[in-house]
Amino acid sequence: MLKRIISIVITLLCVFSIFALSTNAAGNISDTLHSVSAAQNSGGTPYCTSLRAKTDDTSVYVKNSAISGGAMSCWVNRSNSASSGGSVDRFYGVDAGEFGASQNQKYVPKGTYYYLPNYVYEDGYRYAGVGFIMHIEGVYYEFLWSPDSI
Amino acid sequence: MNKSHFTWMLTLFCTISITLLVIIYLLQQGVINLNISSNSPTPDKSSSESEENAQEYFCSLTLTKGAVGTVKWFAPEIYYIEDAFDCLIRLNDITVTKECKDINLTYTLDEITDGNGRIINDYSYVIADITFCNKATQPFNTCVGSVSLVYGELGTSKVQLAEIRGYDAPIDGSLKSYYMVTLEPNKEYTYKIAYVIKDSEIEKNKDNLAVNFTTAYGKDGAGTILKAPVLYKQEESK
Repeated sequence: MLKRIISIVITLLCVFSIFALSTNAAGNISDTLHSVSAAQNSGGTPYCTSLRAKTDDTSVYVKNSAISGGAMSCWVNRSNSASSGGSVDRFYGVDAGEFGASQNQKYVPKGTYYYLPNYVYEDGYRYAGVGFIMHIEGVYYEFLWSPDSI
Repeated sequence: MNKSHFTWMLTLFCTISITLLVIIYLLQQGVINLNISSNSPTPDKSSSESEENAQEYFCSLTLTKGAVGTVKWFAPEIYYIEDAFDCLIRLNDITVTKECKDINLTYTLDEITDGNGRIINDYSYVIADITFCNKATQPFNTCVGSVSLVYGELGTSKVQLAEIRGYDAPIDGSLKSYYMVTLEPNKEYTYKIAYVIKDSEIEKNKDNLAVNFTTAYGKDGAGTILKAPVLYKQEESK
């Protein structure tokens, strides 16, 4: 009898755990698209997306879905204002000017995605963006990204 | 089959079933992804002569209430101006409300809501009613998540920006791709896109609320590249 009760309790807990997974629990994981031409920033020049809300301490997701572009190097920027360009997240060192972030830049080839580690949430910042350098000039890039992931 | 055996089998069956349900649910929500991708550096072979010659300009179109904008698109692979087509974007209305009916929110931040989605602290929803119309002969996809609310000193570096929180389309697939929409040719699509900002900001900027459309998507349903932004923009009064 006791085993049957335990099994029923476990079953109910499992069922309730499904309903506990609401969309809000997933964080800000919906992708938005960033499109830019390498010609616009002369290629090789650091650039950053607009900033989006960071709701948890997960990695930033980025998928290079470049149309005519190639690989790009990415890092995470952070800020407490959605309207600013932000500064380089400490996992990626500091702003190294024309070289972008000073360390840990992630190489993201065309057609691949990457989860970018960061300390945005842990360090108390509210917004994250993707800093990037396009490796090919005179072409068109686009990538999908989200500030949170699971 | 004795009782203990039955109980054991029942427990095993329930555990496996629930685990499978959880996995299916997470896959549907896009929380987990079975797509395998290599993150290691590989030689890039994507460039071609025609691609290297392509040049486009960043799209940024700001619309105030009642304004209509047209974004020109073209295929960078071909790079013929004759291939350009129009995507009409119209900001029909922009409203402020504490209620958020018929809109699926993807996440929450500082706003506090009751059980019905009504905000009960000092934040409000700003709902932008936007119509897209693809004037081309081919369908294409775009991203409603690329439409931001802008307010404050519009047209200056001091402009404030708010990110999309959700819109009135049903979540019938992955939450990850929720903001992607397909626009069929010459058909109007109207969406109510929700943002959340502080009441004090709304009070200060109630006459300076607008939307900004910054990027776009250029693939058809099969994933083939059709068009990509952006040639130029133009704005006109409604």
